[in-house]
Amino acid sequence: MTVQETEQKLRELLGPEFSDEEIAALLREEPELGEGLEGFAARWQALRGEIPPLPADFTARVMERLEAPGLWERFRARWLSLPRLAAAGALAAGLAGVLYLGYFREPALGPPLSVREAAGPEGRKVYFVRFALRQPGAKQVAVAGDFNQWTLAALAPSAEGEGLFTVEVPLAEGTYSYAFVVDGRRWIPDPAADRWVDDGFGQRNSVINL
Amino acid sequence: MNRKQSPSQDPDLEALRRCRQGDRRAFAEIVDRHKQGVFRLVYRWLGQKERAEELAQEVFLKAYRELDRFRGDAKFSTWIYQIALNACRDDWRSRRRRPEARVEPEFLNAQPAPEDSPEAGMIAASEGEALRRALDGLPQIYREALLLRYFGDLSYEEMAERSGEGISNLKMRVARGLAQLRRRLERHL
Repeated sequence: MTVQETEQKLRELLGPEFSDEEIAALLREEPELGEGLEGFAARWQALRGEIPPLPADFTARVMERLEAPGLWERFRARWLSLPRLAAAGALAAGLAGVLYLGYFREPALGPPLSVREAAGPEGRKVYFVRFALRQPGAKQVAVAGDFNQWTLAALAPSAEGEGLFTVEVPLAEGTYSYAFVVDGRRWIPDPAADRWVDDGFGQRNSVINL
Repeated sequence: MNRKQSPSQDPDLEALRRCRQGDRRAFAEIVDRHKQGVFRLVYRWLGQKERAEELAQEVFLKAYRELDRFRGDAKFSTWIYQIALNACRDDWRSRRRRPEARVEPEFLNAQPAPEDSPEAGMIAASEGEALRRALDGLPQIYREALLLRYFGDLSYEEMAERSGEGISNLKMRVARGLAQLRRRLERHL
């Protein structure tokens, strides 16, 4: 494009309100504005596109939505009656009970975690941790944690009791996260752990501090 | 250079006064007066008629809910355009976070040039996405100037009237905004 054509194209893009002097000053200040202007103007125009007509009842639809009861009014009318409140209260109490049993009482349901301390090489301590899980009916139980890069270490069925699986793992001093894997697919935290952390996927991992 | 107008000078202010007194029909007058401009802006940003209609409705509903926040320092049309611009950007950003829900603009998919092929349509659609991304990344003063000028189809005089800024200032913002937009596009296309 010639300089005149570039100036003309830029004026079409920016608007007739731009004077010759302003266009020339702009091209001096922002010379890249003039390069490949035709292609850019076409792409810009394509983005702007034609405007389809608005439906004739647009205003009526806005007003209809405006006059519709709000979320709070709908919620109040539908849910805040006495029988529903009583039912919701009973449901909440039931849920709280389930949560309490499932979350806080869980440690009491498993065998205790036992740790045996021994002297390791170079005077360092080694902790033999006995992971144990009672899972009657399970075919396989494994433990995975950051101490074994979350690979599965199998627990063996124990003669101490029906459905009890155990394994002893030597660990160095430190804090570890872990979980049991039942039958290769179901991850569950250790009920005997002292504490648990969120695993980032909506489940909990157990934590052991040595 | 913001200037307050009395209700008798500005039909929007008069309608707003009635609206605040509980006259909902007054708000219908406001919707009637601004629906084309808001829809044009929203449609050009989204490129999808049905979604643009829905979003334009939401713009007016939000304006109604927040009427008390409008103090009359700027023109009502400036205020509602600002709500529309924010709604467009929020909508676009939320669709970017959910790519499976994203639908490419109708007018970009319908572009036949340069060759009428599926590949040409895809290129046009990705250019549209790149343009939106480049626009979204511009400093606010440039982004708003470009959107009002090109998506809202406002003249510089109308922009000045609505924003209270001088015409030469707005012209410079549009020109510099376009220059920045091109630089950003060259990096992404």
